[in-house]
Amino acid sequence: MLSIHQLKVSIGEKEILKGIDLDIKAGEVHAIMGPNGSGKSTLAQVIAGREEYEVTSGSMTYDGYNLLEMEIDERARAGIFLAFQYPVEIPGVTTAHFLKSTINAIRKGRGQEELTAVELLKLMRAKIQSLGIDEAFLKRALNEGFSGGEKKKNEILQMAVLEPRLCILDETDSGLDIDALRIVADGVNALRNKDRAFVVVTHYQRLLNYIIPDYVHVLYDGRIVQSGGKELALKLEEQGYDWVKETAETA
Amino acid sequence: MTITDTYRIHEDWGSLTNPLRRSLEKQNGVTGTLVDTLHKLAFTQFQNTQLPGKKNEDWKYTSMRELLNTQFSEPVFPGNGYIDLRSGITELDAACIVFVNGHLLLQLSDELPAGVKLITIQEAMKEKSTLRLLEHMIARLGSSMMTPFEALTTSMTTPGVCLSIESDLQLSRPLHFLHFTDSDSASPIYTYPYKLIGIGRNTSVDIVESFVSLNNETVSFTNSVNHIMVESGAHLRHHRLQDENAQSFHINMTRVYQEKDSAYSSIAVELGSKLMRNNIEVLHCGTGITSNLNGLFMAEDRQHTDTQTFIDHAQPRCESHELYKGILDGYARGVFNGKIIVRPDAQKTNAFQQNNTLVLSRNAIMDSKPQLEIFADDVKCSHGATIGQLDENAVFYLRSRGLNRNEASALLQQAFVGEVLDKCTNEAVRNYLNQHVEAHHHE
Repeated sequence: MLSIHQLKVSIGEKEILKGIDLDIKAGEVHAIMGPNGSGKSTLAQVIAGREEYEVTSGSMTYDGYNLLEMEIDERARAGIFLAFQYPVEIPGVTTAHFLKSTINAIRKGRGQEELTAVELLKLMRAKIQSLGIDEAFLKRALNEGFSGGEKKKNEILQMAVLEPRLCILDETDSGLDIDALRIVADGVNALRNKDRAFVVVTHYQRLLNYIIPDYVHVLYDGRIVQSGGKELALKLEEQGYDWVKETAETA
Repeated sequence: MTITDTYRIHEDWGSLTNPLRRSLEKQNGVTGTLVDTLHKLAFTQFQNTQLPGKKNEDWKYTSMRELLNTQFSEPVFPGNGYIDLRSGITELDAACIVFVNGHLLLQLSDELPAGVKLITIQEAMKEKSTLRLLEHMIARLGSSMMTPFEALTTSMTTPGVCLSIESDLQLSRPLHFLHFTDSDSASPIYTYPYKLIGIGRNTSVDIVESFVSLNNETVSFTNSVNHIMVESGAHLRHHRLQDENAQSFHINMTRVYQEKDSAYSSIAVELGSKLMRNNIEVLHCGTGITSNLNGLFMAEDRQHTDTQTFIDHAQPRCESHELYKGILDGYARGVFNGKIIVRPDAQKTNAFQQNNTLVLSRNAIMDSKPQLEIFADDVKCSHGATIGQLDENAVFYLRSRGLNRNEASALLQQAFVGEVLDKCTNEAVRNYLNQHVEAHHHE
């Protein structure tokens, strides 16, 4: 589904990703771990198309299409979804209005008919209930004055409503209490199926107790320095990142 | 000797003063009525005002040269071709009062609710209640300083109207003044609508004013004046929509005198015209008054949009809240000048003013000028102005959810001005204003 080859990315003069190789197939869950400043979030945002980052070399394909030539919104309509680490507050737009706009933008992109107001409301209500989120969410301005946990729940709600094929979670667990973490994880797990892939970017192993990954990659200084199964995450939890840094630097 | 010499009208005013000259000629010899007093007062003030020009601080950011140099002429009196005028232009459920080229067309207007009287300024002298309103207004205007354009419209005899609403009424259905300009001919036309409005004690009402061109090619100059008296305890919610065509010039003055414990809430939506200036001046004539002035302006291409507000806190324990938001694109220019005076007697005043403008293009220019003069010591006053661009983080967020750049921009613009429209407490009116605003968002 997603194939990244020798991807190098800079912001300004600074090189952040220094040659990433990653292959993700439908149905898989990949965790990307690593210490602060290793480039995890950059990778997540580059896949979504953030324009501030400059891809200096390498390739990135999605279903065989050259992702680097696709606009941010084209990628979204093709089924790529980024759950933000810091969801943006947009006063003046209710969550319901926002969801309606995005659902129909994505449907239009897929060549599907737009949903009517009644159908939209039904869809949103159903998803909200299945996620155990308060319906009052819909009437509030998008993320405005939301707690950290509410913002992350809102990201998962959007994901559930938009049904993307490649879901990227950028530190979705940061700042969450245990209840919110469970809602987020349940939301993700409910969406897991053989056609959908996940990239879970996280600093801590905690989230991976709830979302069990198929693969774990460790990113350090812009490179993937270790890859393995879910047991790699446990090792990181026990031993921290120092041994990774040492191995990377002696290599 | 020419009329110009007799009445001392500065020739730089060009064609704009033609109707005034004609009206002065007609009046010749017939004087002495109260309406004449109003016109005479206005004309004296008109002669004493400075010509709009760069040297005049009031006109520093807004040039009237093109307006003064354009040759305007009298529009043709509207015939009967306007039967279905309202359909398609407004879906708003309201009692409509229709003007074409400044002329009131009663045959197209709705029956007004009981207690609401609409008559010509001449007729206003014949009835006790409206006579009192007229006297009252003349006394107030005598100690105010009209702007040149305001004095120009006020000094003409036709075709002003007087709207008078009785005391103790709660009107739920809005009154809607629809001002249309229209012409088949290629030559530019002027219209000078004048409204004297009196809201009786403890009455609550929504008034909507819409300015719309029927013909997209017509070059028109609308010089509109509202003189409003809000009596004690009354609440007037005044909504203004200016959506004239891209060739038009539009100047408006809404001058409001508020009496004790009254409230005046205004929302001005400025979308159309090549050159637009909207003035609102509010004078507090008693204690316990609230004034809410809100507005939004959107301009693109080479549009020039200028909002001038003045709140005169002359009495203690009054409050005012101002929120003006604008979006400029292309080569548009925007001006906001918000003046607040807190007089020495006006202790316990609360006055808050905010102006935020979104500038979407590097060629657009915004000048924002808060002007607070405070002469009392026990007051709370604040003002703020921001001029900024779209938040790129928010654009990225929306695009990552499938909206293209234009859709994302439109949604953020909607959200930005939504704060102003949300001030409108009448849902039907809010929807009506919003429909016009949405048509102007750039997709």
